[in-house]
Amino acid sequence: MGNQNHKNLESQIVSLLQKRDKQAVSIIYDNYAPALFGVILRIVKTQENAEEVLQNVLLKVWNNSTSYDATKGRLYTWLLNISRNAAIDFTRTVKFKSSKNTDAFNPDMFNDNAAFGASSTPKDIGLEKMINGLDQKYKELIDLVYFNQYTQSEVSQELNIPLGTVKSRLRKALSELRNILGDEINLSLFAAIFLYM
Amino acid sequence: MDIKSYIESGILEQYLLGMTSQEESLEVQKYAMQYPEIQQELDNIEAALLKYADSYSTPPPAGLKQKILDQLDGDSNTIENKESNNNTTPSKNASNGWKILTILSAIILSALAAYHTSKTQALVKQTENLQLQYDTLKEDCDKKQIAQENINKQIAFLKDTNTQTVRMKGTPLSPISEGVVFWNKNEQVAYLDIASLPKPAFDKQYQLWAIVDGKPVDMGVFDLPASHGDLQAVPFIEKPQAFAVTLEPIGGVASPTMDQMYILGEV
Repeated sequence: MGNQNHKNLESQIVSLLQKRDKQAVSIIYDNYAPALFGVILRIVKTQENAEEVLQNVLLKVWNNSTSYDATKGRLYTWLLNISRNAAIDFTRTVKFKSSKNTDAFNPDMFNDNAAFGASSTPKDIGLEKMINGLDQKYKELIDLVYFNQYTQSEVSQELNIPLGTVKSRLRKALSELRNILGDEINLSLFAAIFLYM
Repeated sequence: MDIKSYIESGILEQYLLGMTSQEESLEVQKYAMQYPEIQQELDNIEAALLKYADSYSTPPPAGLKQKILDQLDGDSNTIENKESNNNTTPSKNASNGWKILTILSAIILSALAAYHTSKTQALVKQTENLQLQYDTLKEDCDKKQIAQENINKQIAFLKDTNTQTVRMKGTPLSPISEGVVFWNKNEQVAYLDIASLPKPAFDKQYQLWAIVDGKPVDMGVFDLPASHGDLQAVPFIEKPQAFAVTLEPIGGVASPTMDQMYILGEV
């Protein structure tokens, strides 16, 4: 999806939310549920947990739709932040702690679609491949911050790198990510322009 | 403002990842409005992060969407109900309201009662603990005070110029043994201080003697003090010529066993 496309979709959703039109949630679901579900699943680990969290997230979005401020970032980012926070909150509940198995969290398991059985359909394999091309140390860093919501000092401890380096490495990681994605973003931009013509 | 180095600092990435403080976030938002380059950079980083999230895309199970939309219906129904309450106020809803209020009050009251009961129990327990601690400390304090008074008395006694010091030295039986008798004619009191004596067998006890007119006078048996410097009060004897300690069967004897004399000192 190109930038312009995103903007149209997002402003359509926002105006529906403002009118308290339930259609808004339906459109959000159709466009963002897989991404939100994927991120939540990555944090809460089981399909069942992720379903519960995604439900809560969309109810939260519906009930707090006025708290979205378009000047502070995209709707998609807002949705992802709510999802991440809800999922992380869920991991602190008794329910999650009692359901958790003793196995250490293994990020590799999420690179493998088969881990989720038949319910999972293939993702954007091309995109996934590109992201997997990212240097492991950068991917690890982004994951810690993105999925585990680590603070700078926690990252510094976990990866055993100086506190001052965390910031600059994060910048490097994301610029690397942007380089890798650059082609893809441009391609989708072309696709969008092509569709408009 | 050096826009390039601000961008290079990595703060924008942290902002988008939710790692900045509230102050820093406000700063980023301010600069983004002021400088288009910063806004552009933010947009690019955001796009990359969103792509990153996309890469984890997993379709949720079928039926979840309907489940969620159904829940929204339930939600909006309650909103409509509330509105109709305001307008027409049906008595049924009103009595429901009272019911709910009553039940809520009951729940709150019982929760408060439970809270207070547990709180009170905790306080009672705490008071008991404190009482125990207080008693222990008081007992300790009383003991120390008595000990202190004794020490003060001993010091006053030792400083008294009328107090005579009689040193008893070890006999050939135990040359390293030593003891002192402090003796005050004015006060008519005497103290024994044992510096060193061998530990007696379990069926033996040391006995102190005064020699008066060439004859031994019993001054009683004693146990070794816990430490040197602990004075033991002993009977006062008029006109002693010497003091001596012998090792005797427990309880002591009428006349000393001379070959068991450990220390001896002349006045």
